[in-house]
Amino acid sequence: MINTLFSQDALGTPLAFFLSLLIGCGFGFALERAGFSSSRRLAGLFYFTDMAVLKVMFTALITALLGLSYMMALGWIQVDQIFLMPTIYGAQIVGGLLFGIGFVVGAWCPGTAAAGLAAGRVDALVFLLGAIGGSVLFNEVFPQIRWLYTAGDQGVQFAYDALDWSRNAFILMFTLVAVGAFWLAEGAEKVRNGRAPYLGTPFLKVFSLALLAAAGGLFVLAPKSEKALTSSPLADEQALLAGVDAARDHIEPEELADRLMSGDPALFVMDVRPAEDYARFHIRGAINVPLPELAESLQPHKNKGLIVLYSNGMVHPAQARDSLQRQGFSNVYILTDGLQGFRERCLKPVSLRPELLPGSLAERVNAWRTFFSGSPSTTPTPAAPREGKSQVLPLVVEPDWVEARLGSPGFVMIDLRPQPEYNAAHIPGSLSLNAESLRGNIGGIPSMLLPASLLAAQFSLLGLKPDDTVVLVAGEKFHDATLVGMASKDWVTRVTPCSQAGMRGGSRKRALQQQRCRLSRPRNTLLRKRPIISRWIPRLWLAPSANPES
Amino acid sequence: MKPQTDTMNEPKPYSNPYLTGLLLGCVLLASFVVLGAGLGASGGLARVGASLSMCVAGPHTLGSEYFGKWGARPLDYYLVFMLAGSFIGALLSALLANRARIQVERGAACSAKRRLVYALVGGVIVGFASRLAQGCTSGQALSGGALLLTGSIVFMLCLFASGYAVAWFVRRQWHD
Repeated sequence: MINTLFSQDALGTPLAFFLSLLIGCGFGFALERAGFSSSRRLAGLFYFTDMAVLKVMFTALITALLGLSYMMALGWIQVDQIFLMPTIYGAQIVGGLLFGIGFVVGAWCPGTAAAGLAAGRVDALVFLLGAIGGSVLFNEVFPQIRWLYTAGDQGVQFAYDALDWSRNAFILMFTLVAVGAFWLAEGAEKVRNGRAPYLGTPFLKVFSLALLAAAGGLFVLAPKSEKALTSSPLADEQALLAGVDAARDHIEPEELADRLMSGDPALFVMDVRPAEDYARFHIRGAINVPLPELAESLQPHKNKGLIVLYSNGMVHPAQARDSLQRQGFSNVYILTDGLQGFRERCLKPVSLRPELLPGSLAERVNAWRTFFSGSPSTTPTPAAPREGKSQVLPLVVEPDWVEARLGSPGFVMIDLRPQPEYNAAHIPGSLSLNAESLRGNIGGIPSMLLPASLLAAQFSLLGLKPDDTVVLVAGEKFHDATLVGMASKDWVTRVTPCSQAGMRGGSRKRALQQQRCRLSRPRNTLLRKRPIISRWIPRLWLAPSANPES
Repeated sequence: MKPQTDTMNEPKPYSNPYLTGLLLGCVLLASFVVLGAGLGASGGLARVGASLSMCVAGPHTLGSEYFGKWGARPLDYYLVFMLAGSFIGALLSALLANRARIQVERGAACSAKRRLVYALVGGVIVGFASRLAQGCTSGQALSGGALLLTGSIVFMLCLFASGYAVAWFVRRQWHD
């Protein structure tokens, strides 16, 4: 049995990078051998003058298809061990139509252009730069076309399932189409160019027959695989999809944690990550089983009790779950958001959370932490904190946090970004304020905060009341938020930057800013409320449905 | 001696397309078996785009919905290495076959400028479309096709349909 890097969750390792480089070398070598480093040759496909693209691509496709099918029939590899792209009709139809236009206009595609660049083609370089630009463009307009990106999402779907054919019959048909296309392509070249070096040659005859024989051979070798992959009646498949749709295939971290703590004997938690990862940390009570052996080791628990699969994320367990379901398991669940979600939602100390937890949940978190990591939260949580004046607001606020409070009395959002950005899009109901209006030349020193009485007048003109909870929306300039926080200290208090989207990369920068904000807090101020939200605005509020104002 | 050097400088003819296809198929199969994922090129290009975008506007890129999920180091990705590999492999093959020439490939009657403009426009469209469809001719049509995924086959059919429909309008770049 082969274990692919994907099934080991190891595509991000240096080994995978090295092997990808090697495989890429083979890819580029084959493309150049075929003459795909010539845009003229590629374009020939669309003018019937040089059909090499069709011949090479279809031969490669059929070769890999048959090779993989034989390996699957012999039980060397399972289809779950390969990353399978979802079928999304809207995106792939529109994407395909656009791609065809770009392909024939530019006469390159990304892989062949890399080969063309290696062969010194300047047009390939220009094409590649264009393609990089196109990717950036896609990212910029993504919020507007998100609906198309997921339009008609079918999940992973095989063409033979969609047509309700057997896999082997579909492969044979596909091979026949390919061989037919070879002969037609040769014929087209003969008509266009007056010569076709392979038309009717013994080589092409033997080659065609060999492909067909190999496709037919699957019927002999693997009548079983055909059954295994397609025998599950359509109704079952639909039940599976319905279950996935209704999220009945998921179990939430909180529920899993409670069930594990209560010592539920019918619960089997399977960690499908590599053994080293499991050794480093795992959910207490989980058993480590490599993906390929999963079905076998779960056989005794088939349809008895509750089986929960988890990995770091959700892709692998989801593929494994679907595979198990096809083998008749109906009691397999995957952990929502995987181990990361479990850590975030169950094991993260209450004190580190950006959002407020109701007291009962805070107690549960402490209990989970004691049970699963053996380290109870050191700071006892105050009994049932409620939102009020005396209560300390989160340092960082999340979009959900704001969304839950938008429009409630006493909740004010002040947008400190420049006016054009505010005009382009802003959170409904937020006020625009230019931080510069709080500064002036005092006693000959520029950029000083205006006197308290003037500031108070300004803030009351904005309609702020001393009891209001204020959230500052900062753009790129966090120091503006700090300034406003200082200026309005008599009204409302506390400055904290937040950026959900910047979590990964910008954390150091943010930490610095946070520190600066803390230093700038006036000492004797009653610290109350003032978190800042920043860069997530475009993510959440540019969506037309979410923002009726823009 | 002289005629021999001339023939040595001649570019060698391209290989038999069917045998080359067999080789490419074996590379693809190796990718499936070793990596557990097919071949891809546009993914690597998009990562390059994301990293350039990071250099120019880091916070904006991290905050964007599509590139943002690739993190602060988008180049740490296997497809980026595959793209680099395909350049190296092609360079090797082109040098071996004497086919490496710096040139703008076009029909004799077409100006280099027109051809480059076409290449740029085509590149932008392809870059955009392959992000939308989550793959290009390598990742979707070839790799997904070999896995018999519905979406990949639909992508391939649409690609050919629009390619043939538009071919006539841009034919002049190849006129001699």
